[in-house]
Amino acid sequence: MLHFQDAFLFFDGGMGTMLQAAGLAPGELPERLNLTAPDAVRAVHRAYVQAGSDVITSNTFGANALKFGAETDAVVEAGVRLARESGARYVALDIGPTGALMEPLGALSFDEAYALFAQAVEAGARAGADMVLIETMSDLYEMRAALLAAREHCNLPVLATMTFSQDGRTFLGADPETAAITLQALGADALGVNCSLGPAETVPIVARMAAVTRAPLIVQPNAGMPRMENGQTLYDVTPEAFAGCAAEMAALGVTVFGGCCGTTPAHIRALRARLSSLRPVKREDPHLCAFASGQRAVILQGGPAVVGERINPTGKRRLKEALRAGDDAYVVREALDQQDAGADLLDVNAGLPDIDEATVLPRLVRAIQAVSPLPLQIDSANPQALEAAVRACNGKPIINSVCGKEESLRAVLPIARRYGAAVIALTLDEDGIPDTAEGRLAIAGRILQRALDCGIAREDVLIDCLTMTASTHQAQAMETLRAVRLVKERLGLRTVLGVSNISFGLPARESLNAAFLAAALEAGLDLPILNPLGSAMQTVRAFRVLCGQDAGAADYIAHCASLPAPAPAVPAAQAAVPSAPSAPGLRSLILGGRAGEIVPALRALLPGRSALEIIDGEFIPALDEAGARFERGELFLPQLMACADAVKAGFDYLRGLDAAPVATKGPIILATVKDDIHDIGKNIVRMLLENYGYRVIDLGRDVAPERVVEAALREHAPLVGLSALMTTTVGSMQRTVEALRAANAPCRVMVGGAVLTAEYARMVGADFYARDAAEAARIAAQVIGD
Amino acid sequence: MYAPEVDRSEMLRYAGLAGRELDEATARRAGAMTGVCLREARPAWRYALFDLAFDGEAPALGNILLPGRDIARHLRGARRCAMMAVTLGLGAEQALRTMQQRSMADALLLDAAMSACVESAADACCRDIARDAAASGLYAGARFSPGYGDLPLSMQRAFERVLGMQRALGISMTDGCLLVPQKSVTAFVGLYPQQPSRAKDGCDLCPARAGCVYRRTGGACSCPERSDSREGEC
Repeated sequence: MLHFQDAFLFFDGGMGTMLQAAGLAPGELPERLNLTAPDAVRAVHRAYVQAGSDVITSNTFGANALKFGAETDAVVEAGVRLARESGARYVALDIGPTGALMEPLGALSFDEAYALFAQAVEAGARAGADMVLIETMSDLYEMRAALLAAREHCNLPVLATMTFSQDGRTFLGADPETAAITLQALGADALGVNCSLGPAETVPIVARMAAVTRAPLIVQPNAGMPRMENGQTLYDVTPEAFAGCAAEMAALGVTVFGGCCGTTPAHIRALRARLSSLRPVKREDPHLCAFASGQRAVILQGGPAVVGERINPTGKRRLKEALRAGDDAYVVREALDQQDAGADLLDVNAGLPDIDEATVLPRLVRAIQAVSPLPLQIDSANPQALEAAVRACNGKPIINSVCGKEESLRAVLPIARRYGAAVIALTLDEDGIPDTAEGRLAIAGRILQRALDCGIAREDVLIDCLTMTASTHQAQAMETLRAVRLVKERLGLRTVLGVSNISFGLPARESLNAAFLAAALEAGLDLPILNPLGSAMQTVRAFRVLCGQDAGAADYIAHCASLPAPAPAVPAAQAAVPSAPSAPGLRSLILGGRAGEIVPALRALLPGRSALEIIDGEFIPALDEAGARFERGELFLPQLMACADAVKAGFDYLRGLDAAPVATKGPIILATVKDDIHDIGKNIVRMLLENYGYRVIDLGRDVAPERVVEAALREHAPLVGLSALMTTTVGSMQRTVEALRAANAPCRVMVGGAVLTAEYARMVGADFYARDAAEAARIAAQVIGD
Repeated sequence: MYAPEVDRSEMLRYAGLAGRELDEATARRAGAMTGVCLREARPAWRYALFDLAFDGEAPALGNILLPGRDIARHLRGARRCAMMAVTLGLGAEQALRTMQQRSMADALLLDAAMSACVESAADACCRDIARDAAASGLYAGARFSPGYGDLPLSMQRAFERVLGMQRALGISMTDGCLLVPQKSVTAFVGLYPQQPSRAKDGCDLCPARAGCVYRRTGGACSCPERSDSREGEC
């Protein structure tokens, strides 16, 4: 078994530049040489063996089925064989990015990426590789797919390195801590940095990783920052300077060394010589309790971190409706609102009896992590849903939750272990919730032992001592707080509590919540689960001052300064009988695009009028007016969209009320056509149509004709809207229209987009040309009616 | 390090607000979105210079042949040619997507700010190219991008091959050769023995001319060739 910590281990250096020197034509895939010029590849490997490389990396960086199709296995196997034939002590199967950008910014799905990596891993393991090196990843999500594929398709050690820009982040925004925490969680046997930067620029990045991980560290920098001359990429750092930086990194605890672009056997020889007199530095396990998204890490140190509780349909009508209708945009806004209010993590729960949680929960995870950088807490009682969602989740999530019941322990702990997630343990078991703090402590201890037996790190187990409702279990409030103290003292574990439950069934709930929260924080609560849009955040901010987490009360002061001045007190009589705001009030708020003021105005209006009256009597006429002004050139697109934003805010509020109508007109199917990815125009149309009460099924961008046809037939949609921004994609539009006609889809088709004209629209066979969003709304009214 | 810039009048032009008196709310939004753009954009570029040869009529950069009449006419008289790629980065792309979830009005203005921002970054890249050109006594001309005139979009693949855009800049390409991040620009820049005339090919060559939403609304696209564009440095 290889060790990556006890002694220095030397990899090889750059391959591409050496192969070009050996005659690789520009534009040719370097991995193809494994089949066409094996001697040249073997010669490069041999030069590194002679320079002192312990490990030779196979020439398989881009050898995946996207680039090599049916030849993939042969290219990988030949690559590993050539490395072996060079006389290498060890051979590392090299795996680089697929070359395709992953969802959500690109088109490659997690499962597709996983399958590509799995194929390469299996071929490499079959050919006799000693370890897997996953390198040059700039997307943590892609790295996650590759690491899981390696762990699940071979038994070899896996080393994982990411590439960073000069600002210390990957292209997709992960910082070194986030990368290290995630890679350690996923079980990388060594982790670190390669490519992009020169050795000097790499040192501070490695130092940041070293501070947050116990995993052995690997570094393979470029020979300096690249510079282009005469169409050639040049690197300037000499072997001696390169080796000098390596000594600095050895002092930080790095034990595995090699080079990337521009490095040569001379660099490796110098590296070996320079480190021969040094011994590996012993590193301490920092035992951090940490979580991560794809961009951000939350490390529990010196104070609490807040988990936003709002993405949970229990008792929330609008969220239930959104989950049932597949309206992920609403859920995403709940995520952004909580983020803005100061949440550090987000709980995600989709538990409704009539939806398939195992499908919906991972979909929500993908939708939320596409826009929010907060780490997620995956909340479900259904193990299948938990696993599917944790698998889809970037970074290192928390699982909420396991409990002391045998069935739960057996189902949930292996998921936490497999994905390196932290896990919340509820202090209840087959006998229910113990009445005493000691009883809960005992269950916590039992769950901890089972988690340790399963291979989960101690710091990844979080204990929920369970908040009981004060109205029904008054004596339990203090017992819960005592349990928190005991768990911290006796087990040294972090604690979690759902705060709001304390006040259920009692008036002025926020007061009770605040008192309980303050007491719990003092008792040692680390992760309060609460509604960050309420006043509880202020209690947390205050506590952070008192416990010293908010140094100099800087955040507290800054937050207080950002609050609006309190409104002047309204005499009670006036407040009780609101003078019915006149209709033009709402209308002018909409026409002024004042989205933030819509909800208060609606609250005042609603006692006297139904939601439907407001929609038909206020929203729609105001939208029509905005559309007319837009048409006359009095309003411009950003202003029209501000009106639409305001109406949308109003709709969302009304839909949260009991008697509000659900969008039923339509449906209208929208898509940006195949090969086109510019979809802001389509999204504008969608918003306006939804404002008018249509149900819109948005298929997204780069949508193949078959998908449009399938959706049109399945939904019996009377209207399909297609957008294209490029002249080159008008052809895709035409093919989509033809496919709809050929399938006899009973729909009309409207088209729009920057390059479209009425003439083009006729040419591609559309029924309508929507020159702008307002026109699209008029077409919808004409086809579907009110 | 180059810091991102947003030219306000260009931004308003992209937003279809050129020459308009902005109401206070829109002006405030525009200011806020300029701030978001400056915070999220991480402009970066790469370019490579080639000797220019002509294979018959067709310009050739090493083994890369540039197809079509328009680029041949554009590069007539040039001795060398640069291939450049500029991007605001995937963080900007992500920010733009997120803003669409928050507010479409803001997203439109952010999109416009980022269009102006990537143009300024492309101008800055062209200044570097012009500086290199000056060292060998040459003058840099205007940018000419794949998809413009009859130069096919598939030429983007040559930029990936030459510049390694994905690894160096985080720019990737869809099957249809569109760039992601969307706020990215690739272009050929001719280097001439004399200061090239500022005459632009203008919108006449533009394949999107017929239905151009910008022309219709008095705005402008991001094409440096458009007849009413500012005089660029390159």
